[in-house]
Amino acid sequence: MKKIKALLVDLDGTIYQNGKLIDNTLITIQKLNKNNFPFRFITNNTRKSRQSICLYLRKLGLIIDESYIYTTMYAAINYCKKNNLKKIKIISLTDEYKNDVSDIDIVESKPDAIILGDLSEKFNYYKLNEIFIELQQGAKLIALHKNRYWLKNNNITLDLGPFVSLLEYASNQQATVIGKPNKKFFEIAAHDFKMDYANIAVIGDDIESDVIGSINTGMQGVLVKTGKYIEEQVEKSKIKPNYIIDSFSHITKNLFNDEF
Amino acid sequence: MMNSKIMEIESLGPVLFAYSPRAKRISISIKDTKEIRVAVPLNAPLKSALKFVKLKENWIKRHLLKLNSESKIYLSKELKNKEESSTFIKNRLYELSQKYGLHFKKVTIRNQKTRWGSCSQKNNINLNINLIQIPQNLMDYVIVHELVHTVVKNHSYKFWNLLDQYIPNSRHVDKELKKFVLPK
Repeated sequence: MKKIKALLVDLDGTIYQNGKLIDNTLITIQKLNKNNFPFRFITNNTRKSRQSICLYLRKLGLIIDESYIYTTMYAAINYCKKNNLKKIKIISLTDEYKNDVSDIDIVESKPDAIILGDLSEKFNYYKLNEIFIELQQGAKLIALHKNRYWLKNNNITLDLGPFVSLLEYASNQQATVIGKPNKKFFEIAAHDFKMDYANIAVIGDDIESDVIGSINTGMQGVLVKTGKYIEEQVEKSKIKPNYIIDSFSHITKNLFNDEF
Repeated sequence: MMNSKIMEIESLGPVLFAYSPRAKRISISIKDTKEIRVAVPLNAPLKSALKFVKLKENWIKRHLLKLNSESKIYLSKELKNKEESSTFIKNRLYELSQKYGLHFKKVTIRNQKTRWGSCSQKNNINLNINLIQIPQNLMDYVIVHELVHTVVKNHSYKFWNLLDQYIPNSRHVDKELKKFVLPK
């Protein structure tokens, strides 16, 4: 294994859990800062802007710069800029995304691309048809993620994925999916590091989106035993994490050879 | 001697008349809590203060309406990790001072209840630790606002013009900042 020289760190379940920082998180971040060790945070959260997430973390006591946070919406907008997609239509449940948008032309009709976020129960025939027509007229479809379902109050509920598939089928185009475990997200978040992907490790509690996603991108995948970690899932998985550690703070043993 | 009196005024509700040795003229202010406060100079009769409020009734109503339509964000009293918050704000000040070539003498970070920041005649800058609780662009705005005061001491058009060079549309950003209410 190549030496780890930078970190991409998942948030929910890795840094915090149930409204609290996971033990020793603060001291670990302080160590990274003291050693000028580059790191960024990555999250598949589609409803919160990086601004809100930054303020939330500060409330928990983690004082970091907003620019350290990569959300799927921010990455999607970044992707549009890089690919010269100038007029963007954004489909989102809240207008939180407005905090993350700059130097981009938000339009209601005739977009170059549509960024499809979560609309949950607000998805209906008219809305989908409206998007479909724009796609037929040449707009590119960019989806924040393609998860099939999620658990809402312990009940299985449709997620964004099925709607993405519906629109792909109707418009006969493949959506560009941005969120974890897709390569693009890791690539956009790692852009600042300017280093070989093999030297970058992704730390998270989700074997599929964090670990397998990062390994497929050519980075190292580190699984933490906090958050939604389930041992059986790791055993079943064909792709194994490069490292499994008890919690985020244990990464310092690998990086600086010290322990708490 | 300070003396105050609350009077019920038809169509406005309770109004606080506060006699103040510092007041030079009768002035009305409306607090975030929608409390109407009238500062009255010691030598002014209550009658003229009442008359003044009647005269300004529409202005008061307009402002109360505006307060209702704006959603305020009340910042938390409890701050975790004060030391790092303070360092973060200081570092941001050094960065922006370097970036724009606006120099100050000393910086103090305080937990103030009414002001986001201030700049003294000697170019010492005070910044509120609660800046850590507001979005980065607003924190930057407050810092640059104080840095511009090292060059222009007042809030004249000259001040806003200069500020606009660093923070485009600074008056609009200033309005954004007003949404956030400091913990009491």
